[in-house]
Amino acid sequence: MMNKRGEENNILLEYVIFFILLIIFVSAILIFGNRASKQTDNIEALYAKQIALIIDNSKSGLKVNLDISPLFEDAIENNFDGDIITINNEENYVLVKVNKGAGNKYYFFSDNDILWSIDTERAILSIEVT
Amino acid sequence: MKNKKAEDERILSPVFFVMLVVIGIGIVSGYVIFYSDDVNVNSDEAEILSNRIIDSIVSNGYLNERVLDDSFDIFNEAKLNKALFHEEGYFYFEIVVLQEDNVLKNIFYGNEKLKLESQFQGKDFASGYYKEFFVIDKNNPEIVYKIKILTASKQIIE
Repeated sequence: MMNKRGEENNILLEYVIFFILLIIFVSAILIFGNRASKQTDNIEALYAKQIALIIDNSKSGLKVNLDISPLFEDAIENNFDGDIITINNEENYVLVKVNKGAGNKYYFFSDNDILWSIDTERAILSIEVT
Repeated sequence: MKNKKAEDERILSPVFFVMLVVIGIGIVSGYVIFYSDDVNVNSDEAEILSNRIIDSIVSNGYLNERVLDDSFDIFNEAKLNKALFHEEGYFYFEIVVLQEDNVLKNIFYGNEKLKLESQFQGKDFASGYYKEFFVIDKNNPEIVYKIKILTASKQIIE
């Protein structure tokens, strides 16, 4: 009788461990999936490329306003308060960052000087090619 | 025999853990493959580069007179950053100016490997853009020049 109860307890314990492991596994998969689907890297790369192409395809005098609200949303979600976009005129690159990582850098071959500013309230990037 | 059967009926068997690992690897691989898909803009870059070069050497259908000068600086004329067109760089361009099959000018800069690569299709190769057209001499419309421009880009996000 004693042995049977002990066996039942073992089976119960095994079930408990099984469900705990299953919950941990499913949670881990969901957290990973959620993070992956946010595509932080992709959105950084997408905007870096888009801005570099705009600069390369522009002639002197062109002014462009670009909506960058998705970058702001991601930065807020990641508690990132650094520079979201950097356009380096010396080394000719666009750097986009929405978290504390290295960000995504893309080069433009245009030698025009780029004047740029970010309106943080409206989440607009203004680019002027000189 | 009884023990073996009891072992098989256990929930926390090694098979369970193997299943978790296999399912986990499958799901993670699926996510990685799906979300790592990159937007490749190299062909657009090559075309933009080509257009910038054309704008600098052709004006209203006439050849820019300075192109045939020894002092012609394509980087200054097309407003291109020379520092990015080096042997190990992401970009390449070549301009050939011909008159009746005689090469009058051949300008090329950048990573020459990309010239060969751009002839192949695939995401691992550079994207190329080739254009060939005729322009006339501004002072003597009877002189026709043939221009060949090849540009290539293989920039990757850093």
